[in-house]
Formats: sequence, structure tokens, C-alpha cells
Amino acid sequence: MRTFVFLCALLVALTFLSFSNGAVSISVTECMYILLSTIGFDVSYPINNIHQGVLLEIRIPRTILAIMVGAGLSISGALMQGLFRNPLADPGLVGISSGAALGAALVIVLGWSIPFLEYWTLPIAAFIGAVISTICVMRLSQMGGKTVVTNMLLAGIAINAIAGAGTGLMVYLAEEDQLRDLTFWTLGSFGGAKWIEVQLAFLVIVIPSFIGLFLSRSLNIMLLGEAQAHMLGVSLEKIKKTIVVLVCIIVGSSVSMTGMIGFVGLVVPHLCRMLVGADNRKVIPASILLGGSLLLASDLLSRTLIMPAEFPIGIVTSIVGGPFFLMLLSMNQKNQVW
Amino acid sequence: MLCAKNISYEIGTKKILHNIHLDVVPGEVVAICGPNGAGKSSLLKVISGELKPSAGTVHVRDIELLQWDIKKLATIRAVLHQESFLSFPFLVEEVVHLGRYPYPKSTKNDVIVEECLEKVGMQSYKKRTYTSLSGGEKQRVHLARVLAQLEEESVIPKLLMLDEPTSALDLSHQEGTLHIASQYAKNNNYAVIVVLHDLNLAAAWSDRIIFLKEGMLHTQGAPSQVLTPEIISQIYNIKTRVLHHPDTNRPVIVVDRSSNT
Repeated sequence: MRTFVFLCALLVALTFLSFSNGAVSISVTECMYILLSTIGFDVSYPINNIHQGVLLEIRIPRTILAIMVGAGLSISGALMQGLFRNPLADPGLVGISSGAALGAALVIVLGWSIPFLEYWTLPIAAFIGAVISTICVMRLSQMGGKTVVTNMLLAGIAINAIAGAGTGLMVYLAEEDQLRDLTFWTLGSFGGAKWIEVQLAFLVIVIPSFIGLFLSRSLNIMLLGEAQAHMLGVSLEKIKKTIVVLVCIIVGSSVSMTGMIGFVGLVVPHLCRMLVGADNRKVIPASILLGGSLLLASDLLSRTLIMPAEFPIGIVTSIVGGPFFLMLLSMNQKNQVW
Repeated sequence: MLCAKNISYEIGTKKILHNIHLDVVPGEVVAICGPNGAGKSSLLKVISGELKPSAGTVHVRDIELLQWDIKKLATIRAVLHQESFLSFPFLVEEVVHLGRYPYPKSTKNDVIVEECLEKVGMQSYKKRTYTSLSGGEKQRVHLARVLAQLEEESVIPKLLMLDEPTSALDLSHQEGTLHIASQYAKNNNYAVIVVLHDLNLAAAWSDRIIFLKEGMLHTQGAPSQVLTPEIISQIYNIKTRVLHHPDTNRPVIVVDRSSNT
């Protein structure tokens, strides 16, 4: 319980830090007054119009999007780890994110559009890319109800390479105004965050994440193994399909909006397990809070360290996540847990 | 309790099980024995519904296995598998708690978890991390989990299936595990089906032994009837002597060293 209070406090603190810091510095007090006046309170504080514009049109949507994507990627990681029954599964490592990126890049460069659903074409394409990679990895890594970890990771390497090449080709073919540059797709950025993305993210990240919360008890049972879960009355096929669909929606739409941001889904559930234990009924809510905080902190770093320029957020997450992954591997070498 | 008729199971053209009948009633401990590759685990998987037989039917309490609501079935039938893939750092008590999945949330569950851990002698480990345990300790935690899965106030007979539950256990815990199984059969009217390698454990703890050989039911009967040097030599192709336990008079099998070359 105390952990959850701490995680909530951390998220709130980082939110205000993110509101106030950046190319234009706005004091936390002013942020509060701007927020109050926006929701209709009469405040006797000299609000700077530029500050108001920056906060309402740039910082707040960016902050909310970073929290939502961070929470979504983390919950996806926790769900994937349950699905593969392995703590190394991560949407980035096993190639789901890069599949989604390829789907999105194809649509942008080739100019495809789904009739009547123009606005949704991009997330749908990313979703399809994510589903295809997920199915490939599942087919290749599961044998007799057991995940073969090496196959899972190797399949991930191959899919990442193929999808990365495809995305690279699309970027090469693209007209300048068509496509954000390759670093957007490979290392991610929240630079383009606007309210419209926040609305979209609410539908395709927050709602699926919320559904994911209800899977946590079954997910615990899944970790015992497929046969064992069946004997305890879990309808496996239904749950597996639900997980794949949820993860692909969340990851696909995150990638289409903010590019590939690696390692969040690996690191956050692990940290949460250290804090609250392995029970998914605690890990998943904790992942939402901590994932939001960590990605928000990473975004804050990426846009303040070399102000006024920004560097891709994926650099921050990879600098933290890569060594973390190596540490997990070396710990496993000693304990042979997987 | 459990009635399997004409069970056959094939992988491709290879016959793993051939036309097996099996009837198990509440209160009895049935041991499935036989040489490596005889189909013991496959038979257990077919009658637990994990594998679909190529032919034949399995009924649990007169209802066909596939007709059962799986959550309902989980409250009267539990299976202890040979291996577990759990690789997450759950606490021991949390693992046992997973056995309460088919039941509504209640504080009673905590009591049951505690009791089941005590039965397998793991109560002092309840706050330990599962992944830090030895193979035998893990096996006992899972035994506690399947016991917790069947624990209920109603007196409906339950079905407990154990696939080589003693494989990673030392002498005293082998005895302990089978003692628990036979207690549940006698006192709670459970039907217990246990796959065993060790004929002496089967002789000491089962009411009936089913011998499988090459996917077929070879012989079945009470330990004193089927554990004869002739039958054992037909099944395992080895000469043995059958002695009698001084305390229980149950058969004890030792290898015949006088004539082995």
C-alpha cells in the first residue's frame, strides 16, 4: 500500500516538473493558477499569455501522452511476460514494436488510406504490423506449451532486423514532408504531441490497459504453465487471444504516435516485481504508475538536457534499459531461473 | 468418479495408448505403473483432458470431460504435473494461493493455504521466494497448491491426479506425499490416481496397481495380486523376488541377484 502511495506521489511530482520545465520555464505556482483559470476559477494572478499557451497546447498534452504511452508500454510488457511465461519478453525485444513501426511507415510512404477511417489508418496499420510479428514470435518460440526462450529472443532479433530494414527502405523512399525521419521510428519522440493524439491515446491505450487490469488474476495462473492453468479452470485460448489483441493495440498505437521507445516494457515490470512481488494483481497497477513516471522522466531529460534542442527519448530508455537487460541475463546465468 | 472407456491415443501412426479401460471410485488410491515409455503420463494426460484421445471417452462423475465447465471441474479435479514452468519470484504462499483461483475471494482461502502448507511440511517456507527453492521443495509447494484447489466444505468426492509426485523427493518426503494422498482417499473420500515409478511405493500405498506396457493395459489388481515375480518379469523383463513387509505384510520387491548375469 505504501508503495502505491509513493508511486502516485512520484507521478504527480514528475507531472508538475514536466509542466514547469523546458525551453520556457514556468513556475509550478503559475502552472497551478493557469490550470485553475482554465477550468473556470477566477484567479488574481498575472498569467503570462505565452506561458499559458505553452502549458496548455504543448506541455500538458505532451505530459499526458508520455504518461499514457509509458503506462501502456509497461502494461504490455507485463502482459507479454505472462503470455510467454518469461520475464524477458518485451514488446520491443520480441519485435512487436518494430512490426508496428513498419506497418505505420508503409502506410505513410505508400499513401494508403482506409476509406471512411482515414484518421484511423495509421494506428490500424501499426496494429496489423504488431499482430503479424507477435504471431511469428509465438509460433517460433512455443513448443509443447513451453516457451523456448532462445527461440523467442532469436525470432525477435530476426523480426527486428526485417522490420527495421523495411522501415529504413520506406524512410529512404519517402518524400521529405511525408515521413518523420528514421530516428523517430527507431528511437521515438514525444515532440509532436498534441491534444488530438491525447484523445486517440485515451481510446487505444487507456481503455485496453484498463481491460488488462482485469486479466491479472488469470495471468498469475498462466505463469504456472498452460496445462496447469487449464486444470485450474482458466480458458487459455480466450486469454491468450485477449492478451495479444490488447498488447498489439497498445503497442501499435503507441508506436504510430511516438515511434519505438525501447525497454520500457522490460524494465518497468521488473522494477515493480522488486517493489511489490510477483503477484500480477499488484505488478500491473504498479506498472501503470511507474511506467508513466519513468517515461515522463525520460521525456523530461530528452527535452531539457540539451535545450533548446531535443534528443530522441529512446536514447534515454535504451541507456537505462540495455544495461538492465544485460544484468538480468547475467543474473540468470548464476541462478538458471529461465 | 472417473470412467475412461476404450482409450486410444496416437501421435501420427505411432500408437501411444491402445484401448484402455479405467474405472476409479472414490476412496481408492490407484497407482499407474510400467516401464519407461509405456504411456503412463500420456494416460494421465488423456484422463485429465490435457490430451484428446484418438478414440474413446472419459467421464468424470458421469459427465463427459468436454461437457464440463472447466472452472467447475477445477473444484473437483486437480492435477499435479511432473514439471512446472513457474519462473517468477512468487512467494511460496502466493503459489499455493493460485490453487484457490476457482473459488470466490474469501479470508477462508488464507486459512486453507496455511493448512495445506502445513500438510506438506512447508509452512515455515511460506514467505520464501518460490524460485529460490530446491526441486523437491518446489514439488511439495505444488502438492500444497493442488490440495488447496480441492479443499471445500462440501463432501462431494474429489479426484486427485499426481504425475510422479515423488520424483524429486527424499525418502521421508516420498513417504509423506503418499501418506497425504492415501489420507485424502480414506478420510475425504478422494479418488487418487498416481503415476509411480517405484513399485515399492506403489505396493505400500496403493489399493490397486495398473500395469501399462507398450501402451496397453497389461494387468491390474491389488498389490498383493499383481506384484508377483512372473508379472514383474513380463513387464520389466527383470528377475525379482517378492518379500513381505514385516509391519504391513504388503509386498516388497527386490531384484533377484542370485541368477542375474
